Amino acid sequence: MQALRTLTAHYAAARTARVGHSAAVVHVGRDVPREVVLAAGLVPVRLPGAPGRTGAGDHLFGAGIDDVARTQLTRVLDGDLASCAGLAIGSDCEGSVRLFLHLWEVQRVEPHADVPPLAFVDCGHLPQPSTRAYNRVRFDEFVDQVARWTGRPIHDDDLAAAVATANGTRRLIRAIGELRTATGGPRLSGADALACIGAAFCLSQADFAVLVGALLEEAADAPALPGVPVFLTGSSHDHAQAYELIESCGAVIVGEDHDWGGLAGQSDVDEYGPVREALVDAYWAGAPAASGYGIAERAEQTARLAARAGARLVIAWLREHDPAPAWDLCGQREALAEAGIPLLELPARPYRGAADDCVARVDEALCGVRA
Amino acid sequence: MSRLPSATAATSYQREWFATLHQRAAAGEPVALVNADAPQEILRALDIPYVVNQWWASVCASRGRAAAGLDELRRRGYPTDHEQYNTLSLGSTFDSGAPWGGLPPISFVLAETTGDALRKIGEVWQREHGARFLAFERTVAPMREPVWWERIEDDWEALVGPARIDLMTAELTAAVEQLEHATGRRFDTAQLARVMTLVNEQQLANRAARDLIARTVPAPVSIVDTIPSVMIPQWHRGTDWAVEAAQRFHREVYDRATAGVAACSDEQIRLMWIGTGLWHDLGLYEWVQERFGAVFVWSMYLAIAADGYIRHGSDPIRTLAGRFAAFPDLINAPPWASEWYAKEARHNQIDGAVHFAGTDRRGVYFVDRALERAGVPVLRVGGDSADDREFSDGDLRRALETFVRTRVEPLAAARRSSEAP
Repeated sequence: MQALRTLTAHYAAARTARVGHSAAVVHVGRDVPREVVLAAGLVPVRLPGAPGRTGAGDHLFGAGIDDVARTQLTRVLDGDLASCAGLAIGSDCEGSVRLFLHLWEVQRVEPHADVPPLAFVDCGHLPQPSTRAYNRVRFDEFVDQVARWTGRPIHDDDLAAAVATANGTRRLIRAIGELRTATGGPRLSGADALACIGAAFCLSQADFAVLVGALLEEAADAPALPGVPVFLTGSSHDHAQAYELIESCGAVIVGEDHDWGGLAGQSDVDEYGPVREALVDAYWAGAPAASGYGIAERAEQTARLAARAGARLVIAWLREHDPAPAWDLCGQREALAEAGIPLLELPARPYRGAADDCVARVDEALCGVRA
Repeated sequence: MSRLPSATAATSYQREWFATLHQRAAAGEPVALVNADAPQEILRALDIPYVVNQWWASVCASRGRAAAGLDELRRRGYPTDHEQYNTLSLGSTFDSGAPWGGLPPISFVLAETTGDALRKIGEVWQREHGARFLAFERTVAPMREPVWWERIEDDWEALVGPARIDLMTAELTAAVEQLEHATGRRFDTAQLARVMTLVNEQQLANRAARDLIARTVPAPVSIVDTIPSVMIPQWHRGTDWAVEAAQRFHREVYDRATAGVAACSDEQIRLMWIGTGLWHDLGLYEWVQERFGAVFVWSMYLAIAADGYIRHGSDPIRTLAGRFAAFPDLINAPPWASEWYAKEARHNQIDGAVHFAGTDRRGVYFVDRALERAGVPVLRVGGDSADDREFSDGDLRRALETFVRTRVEPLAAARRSSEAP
């Protein structure tokens, strides 16, 4: 499938090469409203980590910090983003917060020329009106910051157009997801779906739409993939090693609830009300990810999405030094038991590499499901 | 080693208070659990008794119940490899051997949600014990002025920023409404204003004590005494007893300084302990004193009381928000924390620092950097105040021995010779 190969190549390139260009704003985390960047006429590019590249990140962070943030810090300080218009970091998780705090302080006391201008988007998720009001202030500040980067104001009309564009991307992400839950069986593996969805974070919407359109046509004629349908919860995955390992055991990952995967397309931004309020609401109370949201809402979502995807097993893949997903398990165990879907918990997984005892445990769980 | 009367008195008071707390709970009164950096003053104003989460964890850890409490959590399927200091209290509720008869039933949990786990930990209190979780949003902002301690008493609105202050003011207002509704008690703004005044008075006494210790060589007291003398009253702040306890502590420090009484009569080295206390190995502080003549003269508990709490303002709720909206930044995030620790090291004539830096600390590199640039060598130590499961007191003592002998002693000798008449 040519479109699949092209999407996967874009996804892979974003993980190894220098990111972006002078018209790109790189962002970290799910809480940065990409629509603001689009409204400024710039291209939002989401920054993944780089498994194994822990150099400068090790030096500054010390032990016990999520390797995603650690390697992102290395990438920024190594100059991977040197040509970008700006770097916007959200508060979606502690790793992102620390990434910002460290870069902000590095630029104060040991400035690096290759670090682009920084912005921080503080976005809370408590279900309280006070958080929503706070987020609105920070949202407006971010709009002003990006406008300063471009030297021209961002109007609400610009934001509205950007919302329509970004919703188009979300629809395409949902369409990719539907290839995995199609009648007759999945037409796309989880690893391939992760790459295709990930390409949305580094391509323009127009390029992404063309490629996904072609992918959907190609996949219509593809044979169904064999394997036990599995739903993946726990930590987010900005690379496919865990997917490849699980699928190598005879599973197909038909859905996930992390924001580098299907969660990125879960809910649209309202296109009919006041646009700033709509954007603030969407990022405040969107589809819950592990960090920033409560146990109960996460558990409800995991069970609902897993059942909708037809999963026969849920795997909770918990990355070391990523504490939020481990606290979700208590609720997920109950919700999945009620839904009649077994749960396999894989704690303390390294960011880089995934072998050791995992294969045997996945094999065993899949055998149990097949039986 | 003799204890300060204020330390002994505070410890006794706490035991009696805790027993009374059990009685109040048994009589049907709601009891709250609050995080150390949450705005406890609203509970004080409402006369809702509360236990400070991290204080209780320190009690459990110092009495050898950390592993038992954490193991109970693990058995129930909760993680125990992070946030131990914040979860040990929860674990203790399942530990039949918890000290002092354990926590009374908890009706409310007040905590801010810094990090990825605290919101969920609060939710677990609801799941396990039916406690109502009153959460305060985590907020972060780029700080442009690293020197906060000179202005924050009066200029907190500008330093912290109105957005964060507005948010916490709204959260406090909502929390008060929920507490009123749940308990039937009426919140009185004038009472909160009185609590705020008492808190300022208490911290002023702590400031005087901090400054006295800072300029007195040899130090009249070590952190073995200052921690209980300061922290137990801190968890009772907003009461007359706490003000009197802080003033008594200051008088004792003053009397000792005036009389030339020292924590270590042969003081050679002045050390600072950065981070939370090593509750499961408190003997360490006296060990360095006996072995090297090195006195831990500084911990954040007295110093942050001196610099971090005092706020003036006409609206007590907003002023309370001004105290706590950025409180974690003061001791835990660059640039505020790093610059403050360096300032305190200079102020207290510190020769070396031990940085107990668990993974919950947000800017350890910059703290160490600021101290080293201030001429203060740093030994960074990993671990968690409430988890001794993988802690090796031998390893720590060996690291300290090397650190003191090779890096600190020469600097301390130079300081002493420069001070010699």
